[in-house]
Amino acid sequence: MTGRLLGERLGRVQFWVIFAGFNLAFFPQHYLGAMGMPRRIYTYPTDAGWTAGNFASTAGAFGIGVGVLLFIVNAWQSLRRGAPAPADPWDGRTLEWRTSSPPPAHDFDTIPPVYGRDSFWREKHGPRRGAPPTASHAPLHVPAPSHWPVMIALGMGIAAVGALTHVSIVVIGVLWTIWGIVRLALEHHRTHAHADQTGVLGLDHRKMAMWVFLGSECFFFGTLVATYLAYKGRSVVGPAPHEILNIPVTTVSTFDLLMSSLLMVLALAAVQRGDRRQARLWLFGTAVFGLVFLGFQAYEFTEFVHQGFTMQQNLFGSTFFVLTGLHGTHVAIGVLWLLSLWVLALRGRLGVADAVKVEIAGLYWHFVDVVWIAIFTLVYLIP
Amino acid sequence: MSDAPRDGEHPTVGTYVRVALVLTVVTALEVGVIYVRRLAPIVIPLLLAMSAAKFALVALFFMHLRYESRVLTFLFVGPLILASGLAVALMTLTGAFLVFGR
Repeated sequence: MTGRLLGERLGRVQFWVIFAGFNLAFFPQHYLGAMGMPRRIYTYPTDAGWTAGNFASTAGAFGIGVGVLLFIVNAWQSLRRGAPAPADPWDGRTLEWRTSSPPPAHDFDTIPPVYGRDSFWREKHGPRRGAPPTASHAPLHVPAPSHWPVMIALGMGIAAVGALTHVSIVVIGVLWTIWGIVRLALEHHRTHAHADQTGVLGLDHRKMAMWVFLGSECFFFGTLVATYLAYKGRSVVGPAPHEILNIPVTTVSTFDLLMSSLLMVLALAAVQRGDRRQARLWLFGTAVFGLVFLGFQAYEFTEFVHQGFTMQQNLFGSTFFVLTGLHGTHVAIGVLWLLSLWVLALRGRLGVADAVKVEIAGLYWHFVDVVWIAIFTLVYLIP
Repeated sequence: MSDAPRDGEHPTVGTYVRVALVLTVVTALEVGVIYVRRLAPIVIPLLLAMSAAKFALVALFFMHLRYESRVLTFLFVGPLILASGLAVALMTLTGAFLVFGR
């Protein structure tokens, strides 16, 4: 990884320290368990006879810690003045040893010859059985290293810290994450190697991946709807669905979402025929209709809470808010997606060649629509 | 039943608008039938049928499944059937399915 060898002597010391520490830490636990000590307790009575064993375990745990510390020292020394590592220092068997040292970020620039299992060993020592080596000299396209995934992970970490502390930190973490996702998505937006994604079935990989994802979403919403229906009419206290659901208002929001799907296909048709003005208009329109739907949902939820109907109220509340809230989250993600496409369109970066990107966003959007078609009937209309 | 993409045909803007009109009319019918007392005995199957029709219209025309490779239909409809089966099974197990009584 670094092109340097670790120190052999310190490495051996580290191995034995960790080996001894590990066994000292875990072996007494077998006896302690046989003596009746329960697992996963943070303290124990002093008169139970478990003290000596646990003391040994603690000493062993410190031993593991010292071993890890030795590794860190060894790695640090190796980085500073370690002997240069040759490409194949231990006469390796498998292909990862075939690359140079230190290896490039993605190991190989061209596909290496493959002689079967333990390919590199066979290449060096024979017999070279199996498939004939098919070394390809065509450049192998692998996305360049990006720091955006690290930024996304950091954003999620901040959101997680916020979940334990304060909701404002969650908002910062989520915004950070979304920013990272958008930047990662746009990083290779115009990379030529990404233009053609047609697979062996003659289908675009991205489109196929979206359909697979939508298939998994069927399970996601299927289980939520089933849970809602399974608990329907079983709440011990009120309100019941027919006492609180506002069908006329939801009918309007349903109509709004259906019409947003129409605008979405109009946007796709405009991008496909290269009509930039209409593409911008319909993409923005779809996002606005999505926002209107979210506004209706926010109004509905607020009304419910004012009437004392919350997630904790009864089984109906728990299942209703989880189902419709997660659907609303999907709509919100769709709106962000549509707005990012709209910004691309505004900057003139959404041409005919990018139609598949709009089509994939459209598939997601229509799926959100069909899920609402089902929810509207099953939750709101069926008495 | 060919696996080749049927990219030759494409829905026109007119088709999209007609589908949206049908969706609007069916939604209005859905909301209408729940207020018709005489339809009460068949209202649930009626609503389910209309909802399924809307679902199919959006999937076939707006999501282009009608014009796409059957592979994509399989990728979506397969899990959809399994998920529906899962929902029916869950409701049956918890005794929520009125067909089986409580």
